[in-house]
Amino acid sequence: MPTPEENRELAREFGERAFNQHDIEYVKQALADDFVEHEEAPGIDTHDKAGALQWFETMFKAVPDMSCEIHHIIVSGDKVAIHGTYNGTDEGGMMPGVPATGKSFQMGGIDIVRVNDQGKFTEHWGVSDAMGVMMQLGLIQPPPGS
Amino acid sequence: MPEDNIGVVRRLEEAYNTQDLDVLDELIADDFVAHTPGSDQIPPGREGIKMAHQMSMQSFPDRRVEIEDIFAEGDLVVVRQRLTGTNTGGLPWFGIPANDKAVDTEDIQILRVQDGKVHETWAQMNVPKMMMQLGAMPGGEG
Repeated sequence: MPTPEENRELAREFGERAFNQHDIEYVKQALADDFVEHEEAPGIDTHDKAGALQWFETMFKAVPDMSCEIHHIIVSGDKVAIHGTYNGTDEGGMMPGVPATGKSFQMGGIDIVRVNDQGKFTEHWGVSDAMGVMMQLGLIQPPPGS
Repeated sequence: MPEDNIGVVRRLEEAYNTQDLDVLDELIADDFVAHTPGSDQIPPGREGIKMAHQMSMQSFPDRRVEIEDIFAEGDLVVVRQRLTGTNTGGLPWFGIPANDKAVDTEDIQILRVQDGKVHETWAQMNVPKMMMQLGAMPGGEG
């Protein structure tokens, strides 16, 4: 079983190689074959590894300059929480059914992953500031009270 | 220590669920800061989160939060929660009237706890899911 420090390093490496370098081959080997996605994503129908890979491929294409900045990594047992900001430009229509806006966004997110005995990510939960992104892309208006 | 900090967060969520907001005076530090989308719309500190809670109670009088996962390292606690309620009071700041629609969404928060008090939080809530369930955004059953 990986140590907490190994799990912290795995999360850091994932941020770098997936979100900064867009290395889909790395993502394929970093996710366990029985990977379960608990976060719902528009346009992605399955909650397995295939669905997760589809999400990354879609995002790398739609947001070619996507990068991440990690603020906190919190490790306990086989769980790792990652708090970060994801930056990029919507060049390819990142919102399903919506044409590319060409606008830049900064999206805060907090994710939780579970690492298995082989050091692969086997489960993911996440909540991102999708509402904030939709406002930054001009797809929705800010609430009247703000 | 991490176990004690988890206890503080559990007590805090229980206080919200039971409307026992006096407990917040004990559990929320004087220098409390919330880094949550929208937290710039409410007063800073303890008074702000009490106000945000009261607004949420007005919208969803049956508001309930269940902890689905909680863990900690050092002074940081991570909590993943399920949020449910029925919109019988309306969400005026979103321009949504009361419509009796049920909401079932989630959030993940990170809380910095020191000496038994919460000093800082970072939170993300699945707002689009809630808006769809309220019928205020396309894509939901609303």
